[in-house]
Amino acid sequence: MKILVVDDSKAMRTIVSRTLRQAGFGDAELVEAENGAIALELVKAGGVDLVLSDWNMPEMNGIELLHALNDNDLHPTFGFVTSESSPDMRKTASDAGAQFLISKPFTPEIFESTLKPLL
Amino acid sequence: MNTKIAEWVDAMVESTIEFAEQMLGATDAHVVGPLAQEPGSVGAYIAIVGDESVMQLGVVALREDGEGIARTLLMMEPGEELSLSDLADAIGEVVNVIAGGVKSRLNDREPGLILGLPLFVDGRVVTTPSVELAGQAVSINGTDLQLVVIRQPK
Repeated sequence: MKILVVDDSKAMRTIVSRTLRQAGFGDAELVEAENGAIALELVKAGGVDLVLSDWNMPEMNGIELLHALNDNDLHPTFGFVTSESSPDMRKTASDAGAQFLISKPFTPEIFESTLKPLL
Repeated sequence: MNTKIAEWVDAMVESTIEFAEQMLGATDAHVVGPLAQEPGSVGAYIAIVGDESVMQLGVVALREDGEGIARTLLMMEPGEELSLSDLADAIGEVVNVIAGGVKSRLNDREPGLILGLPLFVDGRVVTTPSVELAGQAVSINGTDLQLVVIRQPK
C-alpha cells in the first residue's frame, strides 16, 4: 500500500508519518508532497492508495487538489488532516468526495479507527 | 469579538495541553504561572481575525527550549543540525495547531473567525499601548512555553 502525505510543513509531514506507523501502517510505503500540485503529479504517476492532505497550502491547497483529482478521474482514498475543522469545511470536504477529515492534534488511535475501515 | 481576553488565554492553555499530550507525547503539561516579563527569544505568532478586532496568538520560548520542541517534532537524532527554516517550520506548526484548537473552542461565541498563517519570530516582539496583551506560562515535560494573546483593534 502506498500512502501520500501532503502538507507544506515538514514537521507536520514527519508527525503524520510517525503517527501512521504507530497506528499500524508501518508496512505501507510513505511518500510526501509539500503542496497539492506536487501531490497531483504523484497520484497521476500511479500506485497511490491513500492521500492524507492538509487544507491550507501554497500553490495548490487541499480542496483544490481533491477537485483536480476528480477532474482527472483519479480516486484514491482521500481525506484531510487539518488544524481547522469547522462544520462548513467538513461539508465542503464531504461534498467534494473526501472520505474523512481528521483535525489536529490527533492520536494514533484516531488514525487507526478512521483509516482501517476504509482500507 | 466580545469574548474577554482571559477566555482566549484559557482556550489557548487548553489547546496547548491537548497538543502537548497528543502530538508531543507529553505526560506532564500544566500551567506554571503568569506570562514572563521576558518571554523568550524565539516564537511564532498567528492572527485570528474577527469582525471587530484581530487577535495574535503566540507561542514563545527560550531558544534552546524552542529547538528542543522542534527536534522532537522532526524526530531528529542527537547531533543532527537543526536549520533556522526547520525551527521556524516546527514552531509555526505548533502555533498553527494550537490556534486551530482555540478557534474550535470559541466557535460558538465567535463564529466566523478567520485563521491566518504563522509568522516566525527570532527575537522579541514589542507591543504598543494600543494593544491588549495577556498570557500564561505552561510547562511541557519540564520545558517552559509562554502563551501570548494580543488583541489589536481593527
